[in-house]
Amino acid sequence: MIRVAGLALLLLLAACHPRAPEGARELVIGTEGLYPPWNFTRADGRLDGFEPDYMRDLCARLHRRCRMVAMDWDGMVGALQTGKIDLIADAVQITPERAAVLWFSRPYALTTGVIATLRDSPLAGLPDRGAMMDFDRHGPDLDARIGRLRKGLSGKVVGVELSGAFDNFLNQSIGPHVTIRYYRTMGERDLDLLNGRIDATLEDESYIRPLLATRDGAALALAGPRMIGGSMGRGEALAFRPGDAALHDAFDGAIAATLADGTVRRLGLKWFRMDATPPVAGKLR
Amino acid sequence: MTQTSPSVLSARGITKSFGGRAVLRGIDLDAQRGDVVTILGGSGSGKSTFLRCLNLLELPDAGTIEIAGTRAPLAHDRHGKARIANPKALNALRTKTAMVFQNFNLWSHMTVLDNVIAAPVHVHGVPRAQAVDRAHGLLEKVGMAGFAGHWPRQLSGGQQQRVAIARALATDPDLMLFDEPTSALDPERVREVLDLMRALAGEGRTMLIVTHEMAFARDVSSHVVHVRDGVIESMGPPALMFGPDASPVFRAFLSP
Amino acid sequence: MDFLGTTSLGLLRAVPVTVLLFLASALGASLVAAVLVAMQQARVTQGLARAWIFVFRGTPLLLQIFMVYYGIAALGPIRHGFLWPAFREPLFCAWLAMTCCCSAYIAEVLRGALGAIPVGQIEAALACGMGRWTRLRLIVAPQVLRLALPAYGNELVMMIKSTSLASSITVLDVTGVAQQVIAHSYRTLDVFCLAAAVYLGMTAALTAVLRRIERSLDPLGSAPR
Repeated sequence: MIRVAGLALLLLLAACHPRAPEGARELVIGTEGLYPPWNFTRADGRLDGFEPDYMRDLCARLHRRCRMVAMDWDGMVGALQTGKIDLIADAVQITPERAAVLWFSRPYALTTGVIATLRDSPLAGLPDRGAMMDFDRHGPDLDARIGRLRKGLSGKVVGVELSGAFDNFLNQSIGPHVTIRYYRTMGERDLDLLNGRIDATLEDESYIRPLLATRDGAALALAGPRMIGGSMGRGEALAFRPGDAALHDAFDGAIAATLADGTVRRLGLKWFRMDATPPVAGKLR
Repeated sequence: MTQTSPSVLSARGITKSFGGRAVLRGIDLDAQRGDVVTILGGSGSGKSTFLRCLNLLELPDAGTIEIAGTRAPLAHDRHGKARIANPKALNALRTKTAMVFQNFNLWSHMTVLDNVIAAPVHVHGVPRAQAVDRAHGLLEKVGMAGFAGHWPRQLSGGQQQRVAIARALATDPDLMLFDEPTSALDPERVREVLDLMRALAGEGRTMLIVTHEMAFARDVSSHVVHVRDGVIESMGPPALMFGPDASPVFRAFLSP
Repeated sequence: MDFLGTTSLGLLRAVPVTVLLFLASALGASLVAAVLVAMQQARVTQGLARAWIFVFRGTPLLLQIFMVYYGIAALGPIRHGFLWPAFREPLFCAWLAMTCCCSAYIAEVLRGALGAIPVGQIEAALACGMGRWTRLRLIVAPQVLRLALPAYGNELVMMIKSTSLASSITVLDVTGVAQQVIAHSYRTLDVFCLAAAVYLGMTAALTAVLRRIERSLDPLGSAPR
């Protein structure tokens, strides 16, 4: 609905300004609007969260008019490919799979994957609590941890967001030992975690931490190791149409500036209750 | 109506009204074994309704019915509305009769054979093989020997009605009720059905026939009944009813 | 080609889930529908049957699926009761919602067929003294089946397609698998086309079966009169 309305508006704008210079055209940014605190929709329909805040900042730096539209993740990449939107700002993890079809900016945040279960679940006692598993640093240590995780989760039902980065990890590394349930939205998955239909979820720390602070979320607890790298990606980035070099490079520059001047750190503390600033090194594509 | 023959039908004081309009206003009728009673009358006279009251397809408002020694289980609620006192007794009464309808009413999802054996097998508990044997005999009798496996809608109206008569005969009923059996037929088909009914009458079947076939009534009936405005206007043997001493009203009905 | 082959295989592997959900729902809905029609014949139970049909026919199936899956799960007595092992399963919840919803539609189909039985067929059964159950078994039920079959078949085809809604509560049926493949490949059009082909195959098979039944019930190929 919103997508259709957005498209209609775009067409209208195009018709009104047939010769508008490229620099003056409004940018349409796709987001899900269902992934607090990254992006979510307030009761009045207004989008809010880390990314709406952050994109306002970036667009101001680039002197571009921008508009965020909410749409299902299902159709977002298609919308980008067909030009209905110009870029995606939806806490998209940089994964090899996605890098094949999207151009990523440098990451503007780096968060880890964590396991959440009900406080009184047997899974609450998973081993390697709080330890970091970096899937880009292979070795016996990592293998042992994967083995323990596999054993701990064996026979359980784990829910993940469909097409989320954790979906891949579960399939590839834990796969046949657990039953995986796929959810289209976080909210639905959270309900099933709370009512006990699933035993655990694998989710981004930036999402889980604020959830634990809510009344319902108080029944949940973190368990087992934290995860990063590999199919779970190396941070969240903006996604562009492959070949859209001008836009990609412009935003890359702006992101670098926000990392340097502390804007990302400030917004992270505001929305995630933690600093999600990625290390300066990583720039993929 | 010879006094020695046992009574097959005794109906007394049958009344029926539909939505305040009196259709039957007190009809008494008796039939003995072997009687062929034709009921004549104009349309709307109530003759069909009377016939349908006898096997309680219509509930009479008042009156008593007894067929072959079985009394119709009629009762009245506290508002005087008629109702069935006992469904079992109702079915017992109905098994003493068989009805041949104007529109045949063969069961369209059953073959000719299945139509004929349905009541013997499923109501009277006759073993299937025995019912099938008998059904073939009856189909031969009504001239439909080669049609056992046919479906009703493959047959002409006359053929369907002859199968319907075989179906009625299958339970060897004490009383056969014919409700305008030839009215829905093409004129050229009427004869085959009337001939069959004539043969049944010759065998001593007890039959009550609502019809418009005057020649048939005159030649085949033992009694002719003229119903008018919900009462029996006149009745008697055909020789009387079709003779010079018949009631003027009936004579007027015969030649309007 | 390789992608399409793997995807087709994955979709076909999900066919048993879709077929199971369809068959179980069709059976459940038909039984409930028969009960609803029976209830409509008696004054005491008529209101309840009508309310059931009104509610389940008047609300979207997707909503009913969500209500059963998330709504009922939120009720303490269910969540901590002996029924929870059933309600815990998304497939059971989808089955329950589809049974309730489709029973309302099928009941209406059956009621229509019941009303369409020619009066004379019933009178012929009454006149020879058939009791209520004999009449139902021998005359009414076969006639209802025959008269209802075209519309009933339509309902069944709709039901096959409705099973796809189960994917919204994590059932990995054909649609669920398709969405999963799309989520990883971003190839919306070809995957949905393949899924559509799988559904076409299932509805074509059902249609063939229905036509066979129709022909066996009605060997002359025309409706009863």
